Amino acid sequence: MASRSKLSGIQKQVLALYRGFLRTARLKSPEERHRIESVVSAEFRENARNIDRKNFVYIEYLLRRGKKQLEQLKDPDITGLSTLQINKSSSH
Amino acid sequence: MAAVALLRRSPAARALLSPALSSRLVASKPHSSSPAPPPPSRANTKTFSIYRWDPDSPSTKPQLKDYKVDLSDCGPMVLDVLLKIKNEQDPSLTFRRSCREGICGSCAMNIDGDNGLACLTKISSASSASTISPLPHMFVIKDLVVDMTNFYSQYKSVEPWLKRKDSPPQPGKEIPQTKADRAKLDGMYECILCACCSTSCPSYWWNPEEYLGPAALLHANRLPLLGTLIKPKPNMFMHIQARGYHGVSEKRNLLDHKRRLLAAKHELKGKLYKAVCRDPDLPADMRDQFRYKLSKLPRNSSMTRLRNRCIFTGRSRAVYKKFRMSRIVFRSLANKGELLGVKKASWWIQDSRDQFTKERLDSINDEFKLYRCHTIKNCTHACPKGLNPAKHIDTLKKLQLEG
Repeated sequence: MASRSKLSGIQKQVLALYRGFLRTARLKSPEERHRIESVVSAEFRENARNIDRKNFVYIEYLLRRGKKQLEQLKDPDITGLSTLQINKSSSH
Repeated sequence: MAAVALLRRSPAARALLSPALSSRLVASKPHSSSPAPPPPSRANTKTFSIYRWDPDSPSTKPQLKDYKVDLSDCGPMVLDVLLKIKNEQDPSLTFRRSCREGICGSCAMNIDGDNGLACLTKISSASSASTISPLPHMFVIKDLVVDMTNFYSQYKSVEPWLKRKDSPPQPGKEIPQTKADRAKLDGMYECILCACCSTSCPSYWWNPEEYLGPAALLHANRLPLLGTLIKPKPNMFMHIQARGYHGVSEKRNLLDHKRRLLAAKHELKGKLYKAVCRDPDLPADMRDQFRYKLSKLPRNSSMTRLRNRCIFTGRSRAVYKKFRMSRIVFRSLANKGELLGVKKASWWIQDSRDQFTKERLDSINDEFKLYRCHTIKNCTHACPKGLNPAKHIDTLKKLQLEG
């Protein structure tokens, strides 16, 4: 940890968003919490792997989208989160 | 012949018909509706550069894409062009639209540098390319679609509904209003929340979170003005100092205070020396000697080096001597009723039926929410409905001041 270089502002925002999701997941039922955590972490990991780290326009867009989804998830009426796989090659 | 063309509803005839129609719709919007209809010639093509960005292909940067459209085969408005492009050339082009007659406010976008509704803006007759981009300084979701969350939450924050302290005169019935009272609402209720005005305002660009923007303020004025605070504010002086009003205020006030002490200490001596210097009856060498002594007094002991400063913010200009505070602090404190003997008089109400005028006024009385408006009047220029948000913001400011 000590050797890690200082995080940039946008990196901090991404981590804060991730933390926000984990904290919100804690408010849901245990099995849903587990599912939300796995979905969210898979999404974050995939984006971290695939997105060019200098593509700020896109990262900021994802941040805004994530914040909106987090706002929705915070609603106590919302119990869970689910994902949908779209096969892009067949949809076009 | 014209009648025949009309019956057949040829596109050219529609283009000829439209000036009268559109001048009625957007009479107060000369910048985009004044150009003459496109000449009804065959194969009249025009280039449209449209802003494109797709979040699903993150590697491509936002760009302007050119589309050539045959105007002789197209409606007169920009929205017709967009629909035509979507139908015939590029189905991936994304934009919001609904009523196509300037009632819903969905199709607000920036056309040739002016914010407007695509459905009310005529295609420019200039031969050069038209540029169509999303509303400026808003977050783009895709192509011409922008994120309106902040705009709507600001609208929500002004609590755009009637608030009453007592029940209506007849239970279950509406609250009556005189014709004169109703007439005051003209020019406010027509707003369709298209966001053209807010996004044309430079103040809104720089402070989109804090400044409410013309649209929200227009509605604030319509209902006797806002309800509760959006977010609780820390202590007022901390707030002002945190905004960095003229640097570190405390230091400069300390400096000035020291100078005052010094001036008081040397006042007698200085005045004595000066009197000696100016006395023509005394010998010249003695006067010279005292002139030298006078010049050796500390420089900061001079009265002219004192500056009246605001005791809260250290502001040096527009400081009221009587209150020893700047105009800004004075205004905030006076509006809060924290200055003894300074009081706002009565409250005038825009909508005679609402009874929370004072609370509403208080809640927008803020450096940012209301006073970021510098009367640039881009909003009035941009409004596709011909309303005048700047005027209503001005009314709000006046209400704040005179009470």
